[in-house]
Amino acid sequence: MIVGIDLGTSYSSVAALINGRAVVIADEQGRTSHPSIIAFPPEGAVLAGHAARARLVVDPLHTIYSAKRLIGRRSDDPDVRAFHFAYPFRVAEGPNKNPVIEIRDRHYAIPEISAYVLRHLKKIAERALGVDIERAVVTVPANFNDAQREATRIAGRIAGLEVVRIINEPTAAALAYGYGRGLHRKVAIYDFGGGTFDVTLLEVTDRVFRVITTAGDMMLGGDDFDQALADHVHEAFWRKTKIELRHDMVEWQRLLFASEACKRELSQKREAELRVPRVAHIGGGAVDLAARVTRDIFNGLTIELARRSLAVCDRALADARLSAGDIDDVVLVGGSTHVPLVRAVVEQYFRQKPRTDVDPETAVAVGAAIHAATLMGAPLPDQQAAALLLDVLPHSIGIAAAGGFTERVIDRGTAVPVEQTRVFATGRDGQEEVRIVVVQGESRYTRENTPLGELVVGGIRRASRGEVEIEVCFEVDQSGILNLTARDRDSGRTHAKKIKLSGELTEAQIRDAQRSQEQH
Amino acid sequence: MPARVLIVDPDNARRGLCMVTIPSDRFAMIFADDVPQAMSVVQRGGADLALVAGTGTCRALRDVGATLPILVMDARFVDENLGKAEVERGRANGFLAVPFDRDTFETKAASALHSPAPAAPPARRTRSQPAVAVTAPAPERDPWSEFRERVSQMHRQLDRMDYYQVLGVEPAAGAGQIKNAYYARAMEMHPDRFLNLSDERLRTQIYEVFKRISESFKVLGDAALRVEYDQGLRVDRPRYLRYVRTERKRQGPKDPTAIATTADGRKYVGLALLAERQGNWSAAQMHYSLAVQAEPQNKALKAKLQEIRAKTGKK
Repeated sequence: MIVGIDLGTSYSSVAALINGRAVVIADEQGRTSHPSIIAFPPEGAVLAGHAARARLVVDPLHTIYSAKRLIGRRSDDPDVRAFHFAYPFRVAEGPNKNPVIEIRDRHYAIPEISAYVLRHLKKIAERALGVDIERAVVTVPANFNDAQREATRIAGRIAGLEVVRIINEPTAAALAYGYGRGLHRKVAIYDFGGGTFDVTLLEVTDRVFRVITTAGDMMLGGDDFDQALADHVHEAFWRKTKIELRHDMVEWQRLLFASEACKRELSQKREAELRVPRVAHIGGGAVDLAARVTRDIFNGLTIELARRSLAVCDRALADARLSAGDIDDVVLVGGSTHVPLVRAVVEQYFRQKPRTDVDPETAVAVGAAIHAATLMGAPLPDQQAAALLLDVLPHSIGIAAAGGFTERVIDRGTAVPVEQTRVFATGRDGQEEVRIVVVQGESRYTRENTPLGELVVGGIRRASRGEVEIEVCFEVDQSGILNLTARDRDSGRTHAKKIKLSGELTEAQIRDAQRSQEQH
Repeated sequence: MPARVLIVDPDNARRGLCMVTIPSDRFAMIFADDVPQAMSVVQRGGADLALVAGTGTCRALRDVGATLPILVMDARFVDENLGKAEVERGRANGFLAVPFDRDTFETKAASALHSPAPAAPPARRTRSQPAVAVTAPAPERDPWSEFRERVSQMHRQLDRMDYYQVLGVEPAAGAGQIKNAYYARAMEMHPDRFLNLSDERLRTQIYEVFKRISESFKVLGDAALRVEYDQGLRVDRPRYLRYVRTERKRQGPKDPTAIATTADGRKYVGLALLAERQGNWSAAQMHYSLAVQAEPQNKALKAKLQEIRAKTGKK
């Protein structure tokens, strides 16, 4: 059995195709969204989902959230550095310059954390459907790079799932919106999730979903709304009491929780109360933090966040050489699109009411399940395909050239799968190996792009310069993952090998991690 | 009867803020991007009050003869004195600091609205939607053997086919035809449809062929690239069959900064080499020592620094 999984920054869900209909699978309490949170209590099993979320206010040092913001990144990434301070739990530097999370005396790689989330979802699906789940289609933000996609796939393996395909969240949402409806239109997917924002423009027809372009802001999400609200309320509290809560991780987390709840309430009502009881103690007496927040105040606090999302829309439209008026349908995805200000801003930007016929919380999982079913369908030459995705590469792939410059090999926006061959000749007499540094990003300068790894082709015959040629094939598959094949063209002796670049975990480590998770 | 507020502001974020803040049961909102759009509403008497972003726009409205009450809005008007001054300058009736709340808006609007003359509510603008129609053409129905034969034939000839042949269109085909052909090919040969195929050889062939199909569309689907590609075909067809052709690149010690391994290290080595070429030994020494600081483990750099030190010592 195969399922579709929306592995979100804050919440995740799982869906499957049952009797030809895509259904989101609920747990025993009937919940379909599960917090992407993992807790390591001092004794007993590792907790995930709602149970782990409850630990967040009790034991923030050993409760891990928003791991997706770290997955597939390097420790020296400035965004990762920023998180060292933002997280209450300890983020350390791992052996391959990748961040690891320190729980008591053990280090966990980020894919291991995500694997616990995936394992939790797998269990929910297995319990509900009564069958084993071995395979999944997992979604990622459209602008995830090669390393982040590869790390997500490894997380699947550690969880005991074969990730048959990684698809982009907005593309999945488009499938959920347009599948089987015989549409023929240009669709914008406005995806405002807990941790990331992206917008994707697609051409949707009955059977083909073609991505025209995609743009995103990796550091803009619903969490920022909570943060803005918490900062605002905290400042008023501080003025009154001179108590600083930011240094107390437990209390600050409780305030963030209350802010999230307040934000949700403000989507329904014009005014809500934000209350954190017994937040501090003065002279033996407990102090409560309580504030009334109106929607107007909240809108004022978050207007700049909404504006940032429109700047991303500008980029996407410019890239596609389209204007807002060319878009036929606007589909809202992600929990943050419940915020009335966000809806209004989108309506103004596209000059039309956004569509509300897909559930922003579950559309991505549903789309993944639909695609999973397509992939697992019996291959028949005369059968019409259910729905095909034609997606694109989110960031250009290039190689480091002389002088610190990057030479593009495959441009962003190119439809996948795609391949590109480069021939490298030796530049020195007697050269025995060729090294090629592969990077991803749009900058001309190598240091501004994301390093994916170094390809070393060794064992070259000693010869005079330029005599030996190495052919390197850069191939990006439908999951957006880069595969390299190097071939020594020397005197008919050709040997091809697949090279994996961004593996922060070795095969043995992946197997160990999987075994250790299964024992618990 | 709701008062009609004309919001003159091209900024979609502020427009959204207005939508969610101004109570829609008491105010009907009309949006305009600029002065001409706003004036066409004002001239047919379609607004009771204008809410305008920026003093400049407000003045411009007054200059072309708008007499309705105007509130001017700006984020800087949290400074009330500035707000009052700008009201004067723009000949407005009041100011609003953005972001504002409902009560503030209502108070300011009430004082600005001199004569709440009852009028017909504005006509709702509806957006025309293109008709839902046209499904992509259905692919031909072939049994397995025929399909297998076609795939392997295409695979064999892949390196002799130009992009038009790959997509199966005439070189004179229009943009629409090219896209349709691409979609038809995708429906027939997209590798996602054959993930479970047990015949691995056929699966690989399908994958290889499809990669070329999307490459073809990438070039032919882009007007500028297509022109370039067509030129290449005319000049030397076998050579320019593929737009992105294999390129030769020399690999070797061409980058003298490569003795450093970090970006910072390379930068300083580059500067040091430049200084060396200019004969400025002390600058070279400084840059090398900075490079060594960036990469304290790098032996080659240390050796280089020693070398330079020896040179400066001699001079």
